[in-house]
Amino acid sequence: MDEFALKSSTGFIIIVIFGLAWIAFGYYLGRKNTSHEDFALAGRNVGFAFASATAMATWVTSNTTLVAPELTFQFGLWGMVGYSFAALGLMLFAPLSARIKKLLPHGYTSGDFIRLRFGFTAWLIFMLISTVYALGWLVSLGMAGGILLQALSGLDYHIGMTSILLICVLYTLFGGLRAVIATDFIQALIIITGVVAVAILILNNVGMDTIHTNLSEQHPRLLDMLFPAAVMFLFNNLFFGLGEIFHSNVWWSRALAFKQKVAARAFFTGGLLWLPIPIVTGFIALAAPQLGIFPSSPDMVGPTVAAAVLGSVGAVIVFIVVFSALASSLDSLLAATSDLVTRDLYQKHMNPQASDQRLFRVNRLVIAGLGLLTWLLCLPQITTLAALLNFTGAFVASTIWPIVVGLYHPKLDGRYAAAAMALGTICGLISYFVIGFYVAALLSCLVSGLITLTGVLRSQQKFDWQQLDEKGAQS
Amino acid sequence: MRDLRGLALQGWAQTLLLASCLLVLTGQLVPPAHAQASGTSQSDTNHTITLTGTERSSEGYFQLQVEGLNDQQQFVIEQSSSADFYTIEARFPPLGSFRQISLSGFDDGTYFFRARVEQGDNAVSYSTTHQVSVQHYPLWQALSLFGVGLGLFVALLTTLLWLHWNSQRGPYHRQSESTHG
Repeated sequence: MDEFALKSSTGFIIIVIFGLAWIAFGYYLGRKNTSHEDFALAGRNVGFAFASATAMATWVTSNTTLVAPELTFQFGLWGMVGYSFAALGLMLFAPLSARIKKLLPHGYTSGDFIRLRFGFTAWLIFMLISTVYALGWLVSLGMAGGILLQALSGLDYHIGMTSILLICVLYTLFGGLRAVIATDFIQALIIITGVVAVAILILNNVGMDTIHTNLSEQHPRLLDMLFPAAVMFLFNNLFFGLGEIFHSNVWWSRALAFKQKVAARAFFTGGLLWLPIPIVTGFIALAAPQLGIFPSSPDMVGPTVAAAVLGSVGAVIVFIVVFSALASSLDSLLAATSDLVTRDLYQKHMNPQASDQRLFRVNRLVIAGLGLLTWLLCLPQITTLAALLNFTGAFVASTIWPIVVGLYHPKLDGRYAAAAMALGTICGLISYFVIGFYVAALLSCLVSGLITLTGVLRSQQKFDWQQLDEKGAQS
Repeated sequence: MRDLRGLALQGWAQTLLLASCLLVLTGQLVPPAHAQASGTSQSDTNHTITLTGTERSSEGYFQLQVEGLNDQQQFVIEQSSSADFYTIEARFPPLGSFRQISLSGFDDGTYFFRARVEQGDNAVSYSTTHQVSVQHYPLWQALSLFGVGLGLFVALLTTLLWLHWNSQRGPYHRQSESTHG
């Protein structure tokens, strides 16, 4: 394959048109925000349709559109099947979201819960984990923007990366969570329609028999259901997904923003809608060898194959779908991380007397700062998307057990929760470097689970759930 | 291509990045030890075009890079099971003008690669030869981790559902109800 599917100028024009549209929409929605709570949690009144769409669209990200094909290219059939297991993260967060809404009716962030439930030390470790994860995900999204443009049009990586970051920072800055959720709804429609269209077109254009023959002869492991590294990867990805969702303020802020009876149903529906998407995007990668496509980096394989099969029109569809997917995640992460910094660091530890308007301003400044920091970290393309994301898996998987048990069981105290997160992360990192990225989350979760179990068995405390409702306790 | 990206970076940006303590964390993001890349395994000083990349892989995927080509030169990677390339078993073209290629799905074995470069006057030249050894993890090791993962997931699922069910009916629910209800 000698040429790119789109001209560089075409790719850039699409970015400019979409960017202006999203920014104008964010500005329009942002006019309704009158308080910090409006900006950060969309007034805590999001209904079912928007809630389901934002859950699904936020979870369709560079992971799904670029990393699922990458992992299928590397791990074969298990790559795409394993990736679809991440839908369980959204589905299992459904009962947790109902519990969160009940226990923290006035809460803002996941950090609120950790601080009130487990104390300062656990909160500190949790914030470190959240920071590493948020930066890892932000950087992967920025990188994905650059990789997408480069794969489809040959445009320089830095231009694509800078463009997508700038667009998302601007409309999140104007509109807050309200804009994020509204754009997610539109982006979800674009993603579902686009993915279905691409799947139908590829099935019509590429024969299954020729793909199977080529893989059997020249890349046999991609069809092997006992491919060792892929077998190891399977549950690792599941725990990575669970850790991402259970700990991240992206999902906690949504649980708190959704209406009381909507949260659980919305997360479950979002998971169901998401489930088939990595199968479709991953399948695309299996056609790469038969088409003679061998990308320079495996994270480019998805859009490259789609563009090669579908031509310029297909490339435009792929471009719009992936751009929407990236934007829907990037804006959510910017909003949620800035809430975490504003609420947990600034308001709780630096300026407890800050007025609502002051918090409003700080939140916006943090969004801009996060955008700038992400841009700087994206400049050197230091690793592939999958390696970067799975590095954070060692961190986030350690939070699964402390959060699940901490939300329901009064006996787990802060010392054990802190130890579970710290030692789980350390063991996950060791396994990342000694064995590979495909076991880091699994071992992190295992160690964390054992420490959490010990904590429940040995701890003498009985936590008073009233302490979680700060506003209720004060009044 | 990665070299070109590197050249495009401004020095001030690199300095700023190094100064960031957060980069210390992400700076640890190197590939696992088993997938280390290195120089040519069978260097030939007569060639100015070199093929480098991963030497050992436990996953059957790896990357190869061609160095020493000018912008106009096109190449194709050739694969053989013997160092003399008596039989070419597969050819892999790169994407666009990229000088790096990713390959995957290889079974256990030793593979030899070289870049075949088309010169302007229909002449052909070859890069140095690069050898890649693929040795997948033992299946027992993979299945053991699979078993651990399955057991852990069942434990987590059971715990979560049991705790949630209990919270709806048991004392925790009543406690939280009395708090907020």
